[in-house]
Amino acid sequence: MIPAIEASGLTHRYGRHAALRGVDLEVPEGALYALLGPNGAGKTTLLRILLGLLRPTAGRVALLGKELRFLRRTDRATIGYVAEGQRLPGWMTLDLLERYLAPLYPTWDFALASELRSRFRLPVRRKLKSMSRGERMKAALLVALAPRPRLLIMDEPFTGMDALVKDELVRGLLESVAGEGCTVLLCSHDIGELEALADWAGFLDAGRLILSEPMDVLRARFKRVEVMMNGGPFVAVEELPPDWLSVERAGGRATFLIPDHGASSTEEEVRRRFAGAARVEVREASLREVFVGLAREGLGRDGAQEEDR
Amino acid sequence: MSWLAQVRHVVGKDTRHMAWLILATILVIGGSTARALELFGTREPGFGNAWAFLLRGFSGAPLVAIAGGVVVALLLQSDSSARSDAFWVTRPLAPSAVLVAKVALVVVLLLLLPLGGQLAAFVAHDVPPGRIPSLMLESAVSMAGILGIVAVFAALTPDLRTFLAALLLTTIGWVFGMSFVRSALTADGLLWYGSASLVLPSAVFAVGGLALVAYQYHTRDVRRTVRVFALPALAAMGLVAIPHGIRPTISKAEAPPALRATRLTVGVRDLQPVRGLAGSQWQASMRFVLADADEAHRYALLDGFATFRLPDGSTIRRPLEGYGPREVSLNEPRLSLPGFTWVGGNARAVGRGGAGAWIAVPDAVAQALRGGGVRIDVEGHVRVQEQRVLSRLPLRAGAAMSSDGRRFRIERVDAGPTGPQVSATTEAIASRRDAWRNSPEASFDMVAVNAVRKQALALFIRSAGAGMGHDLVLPGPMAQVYQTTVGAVEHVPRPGEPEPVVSDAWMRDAELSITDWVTVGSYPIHVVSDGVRVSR
Repeated sequence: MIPAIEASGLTHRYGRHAALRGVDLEVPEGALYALLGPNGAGKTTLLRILLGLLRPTAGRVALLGKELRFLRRTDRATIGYVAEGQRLPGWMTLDLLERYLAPLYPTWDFALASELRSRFRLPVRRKLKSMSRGERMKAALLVALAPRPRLLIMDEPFTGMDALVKDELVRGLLESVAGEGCTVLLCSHDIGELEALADWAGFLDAGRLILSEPMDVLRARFKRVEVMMNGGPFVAVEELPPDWLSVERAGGRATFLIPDHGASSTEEEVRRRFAGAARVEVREASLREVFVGLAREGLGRDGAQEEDR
Repeated sequence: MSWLAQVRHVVGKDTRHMAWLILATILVIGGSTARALELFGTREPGFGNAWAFLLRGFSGAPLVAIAGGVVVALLLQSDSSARSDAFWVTRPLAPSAVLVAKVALVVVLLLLLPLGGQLAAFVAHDVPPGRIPSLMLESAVSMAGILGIVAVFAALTPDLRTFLAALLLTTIGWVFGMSFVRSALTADGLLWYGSASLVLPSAVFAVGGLALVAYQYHTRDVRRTVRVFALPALAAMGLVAIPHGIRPTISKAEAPPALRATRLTVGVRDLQPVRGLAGSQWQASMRFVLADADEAHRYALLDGFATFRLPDGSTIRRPLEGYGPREVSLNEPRLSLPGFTWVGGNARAVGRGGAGAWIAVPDAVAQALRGGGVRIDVEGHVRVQEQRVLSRLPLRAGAAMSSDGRRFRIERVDAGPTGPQVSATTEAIASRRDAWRNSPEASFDMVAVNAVRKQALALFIRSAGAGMGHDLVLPGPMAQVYQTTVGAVEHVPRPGEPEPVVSDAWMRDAELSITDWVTVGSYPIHVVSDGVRVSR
């Protein structure tokens, strides 16, 4: 199967600052891919390059099986984009915006547009510039979904939306488009939302994609381990392995995110290293825990690099 | 949706978006056209002639240009090519279709529409049909050049505020830079400070600007566009910054051999220090006499150069400027009115002339001219003109005539002690380059004639030069408006001499005869005058 998004060796520099450093990304068709990463990791830059809004310093991109520069208007009509703070023609009403965009998309679904309008409770005749931030995001989402795109790229799409909309509408919509074979690449700080939605996750840190895999594999790969010492100080028998992430220590309690080597062997390994532990608890890591663990690891590494310099 | 349908779609969107601005622009163009057609602002509004004259010099063209600039800026920035987050770039719109839609709207609204008004103004000003195409082209190119510059700034800036700041700063920088370059280049007097034809630079700005904007829409990369176009843009701006000497048009027709006077002598009447540069720069008053010139014809030296050869063997070359740039009158022709007797204070009816020129020379030349022994080579072309009576108008306010794109109208007639005093307005349409060179009435000579008594009274300019040029509907070709007052030379009869014949009764039957001087040809000339010295 041809991946919906295929990027290789993507590098982008803003002057001397490298925002992306050789990113290889592959998003399978039909996937709902969550792109995670701390602030400044290069997520927005990556999405803009994928859409052709930014020219990469190096690397190549193919969307829906075609090199970006060979995409025709008909191909572009199958790609939707929603971004936080996306500029909309503020002088237009939603009605006018729909009438302007609909002829550009052969697959524009008027019924879906109408349904979304009523579900989002969007005012039709009010100018976009006088809508609230959340309403504008909903409008942007509406015009991105109405053409029933094959590929939907979303950069922080939930910004400004109230919890009700996020929980009841957006999730349902995204699930439905994903169910229809639409590939969704979504980057958001709202990890809780992504965890429920995404079936793939990628983690971008300091311009590098340090992991990209299906959610179930990711969840299975990392284990969250909590160790409680028996009243005494927290002492490890030996130096901890470098792939143990997110070490938190508070009194006699510590939590780790460690790569899974099989449930029993993982627990055995932990007990061997913390001989005086009163309790060792091993469970599947949540996406948030993986994200935080990887982000802290990245920050720690960056800090160390700064000190080295 | 096809590419063409996309163009139409974007045009429709922009028209709707900017409906009010488009309407306002149409009103400005309509007002400018009405003004150019003199539908308002030409009648005396009650504050005297000066006010009426100022109003006559008012033009709506700058307003059309400003409105056009605003429309272009808003059009381009509504679908910005400089912002990566612009709405249109993530839609299945061809960048070329977006740009062509904007260009189409600009062409129709800001070029074709005002050009229609411009054409009506040319026709209303009696411009000969043969001259209209070139004037229309100049109008279109001038406006397109302005819009091209605005489009470049609008395409390369992300918002209106940045656009205005960039445009303002660049304009200020360019004006200062241009002044600096010009003052450096004209320091030795070899280049006359003046405006050259703006057609070429305007065409460069229009075509280059469109190419730059198209490239920007294609790449949407401001840095890359600036890198690619920086040098050509600077060169194009330099085109205007570098001064061009204004050279008169030398008739391609050869003057008849019988009319080729050659005995030109050159003298220097006076030397005056140049204020502020006393001791280093002098103004020499040159006198030219074309001895074998026919008095019925008018001779002028065009595009002449004087080369001063000093006793020490050094030479200095200077352009000759006279009444007009690079034009020096060489004789004092006479008007002839067969069958009429000249009356009044100056019976010798002299056509406008005056053979002389001031020329800037360095101290070395001034010293040599005082001591004598300077050899002056004068070379250039001599233009020969002959008189042609254009019209005879009744001597009353409102009488008017037109000829070769020039309109003449008598504003007022007063009876003076020596005869009629006529205030008239001359208006002409000329290309901007020509407008700098000539005043439209420069070649007119006026005579009051009494056909009943077969008498003619030469009228001379009593006050002149109150002139101004203004654009019509679009920038480019100019309407020049000059106000002139002519009257007879004051004449006090000597004892025993009869009283002046020009009485009220004489005036009642009088008409104003307007004579034009028409070029019959030109020829090259090169004369050498040895041993020239200052001689009053």
